[in-house]
Amino acid sequence: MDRDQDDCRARFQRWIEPLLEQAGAYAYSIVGNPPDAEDSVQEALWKGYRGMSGYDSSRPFKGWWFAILRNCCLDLLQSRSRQPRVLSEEEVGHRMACTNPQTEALRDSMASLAEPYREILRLRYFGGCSYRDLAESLSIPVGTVMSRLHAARQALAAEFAKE
Amino acid sequence: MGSIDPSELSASLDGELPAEACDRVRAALAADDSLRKQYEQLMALDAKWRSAASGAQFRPNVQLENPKSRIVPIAVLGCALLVVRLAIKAPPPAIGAAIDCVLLTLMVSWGFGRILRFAESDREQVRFSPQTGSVV
Repeated sequence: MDRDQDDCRARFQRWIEPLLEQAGAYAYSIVGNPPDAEDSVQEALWKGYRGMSGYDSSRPFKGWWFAILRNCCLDLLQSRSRQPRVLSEEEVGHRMACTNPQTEALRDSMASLAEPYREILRLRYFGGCSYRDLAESLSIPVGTVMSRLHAARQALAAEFAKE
Repeated sequence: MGSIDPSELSASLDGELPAEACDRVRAALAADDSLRKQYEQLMALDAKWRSAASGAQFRPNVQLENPKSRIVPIAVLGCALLVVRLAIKAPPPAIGAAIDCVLLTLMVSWGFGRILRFAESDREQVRFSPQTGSVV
């Protein structure tokens, strides 16, 4: 049983490792700052590892884990709304230094869209998800991914055209 | 847009269409200038958004701890010391006291570790004082 647990852990680490940077970007697109994004990814790591027994290996792992990550990000946003994080001046300065204007403009434009469009665009652009991953993460068929992503892009293009 | 579904333009851009559908899209683009222009606009916006999103990429400093990697050698050491302690009927006082101290330290550390792991599920929010920059 210990060997099974070690195998499971090694497998989980192998699958997670190439996803970490995209996970960081995706979490950032939701929570809006690197420290909270890091916290969300860490929480999702633990939850994903503990939930491995419930993962069906025939389904896309990235889509499965990013659904967990999204929930962790949303939970953190809820907790921040109840108890805001108070930052030191150094953290504020560091956060401002890390802010990319184009990235923030994209985040702001996405934030003004309807939730289904916002979610699929975040997963696609920040998370780098394929259509299969999108279908798994959002629990929708691939055909719906196609039509929703196209509609979301048109909505985002309209937002950008306003600027 | 001819014979193709509008969403197939996006899917073609993303490389997510099966070969047959790709051929249909390619043929439609070759035959329809306005469709090709729409596709090029979509391509340009997609490149812009991907570039903007890439600015958010960073590698979070996270870890998946394996408690066993630390606990097993500590447990082996603890057991070995306990066996030695019990085996030596009348150890010199200094050695006996040293072994007792190490055993006590291992037990207390293990106990704290269990408490901390339990408490991690209810992590407190970190709060800093903006004035002093220290944890409140």
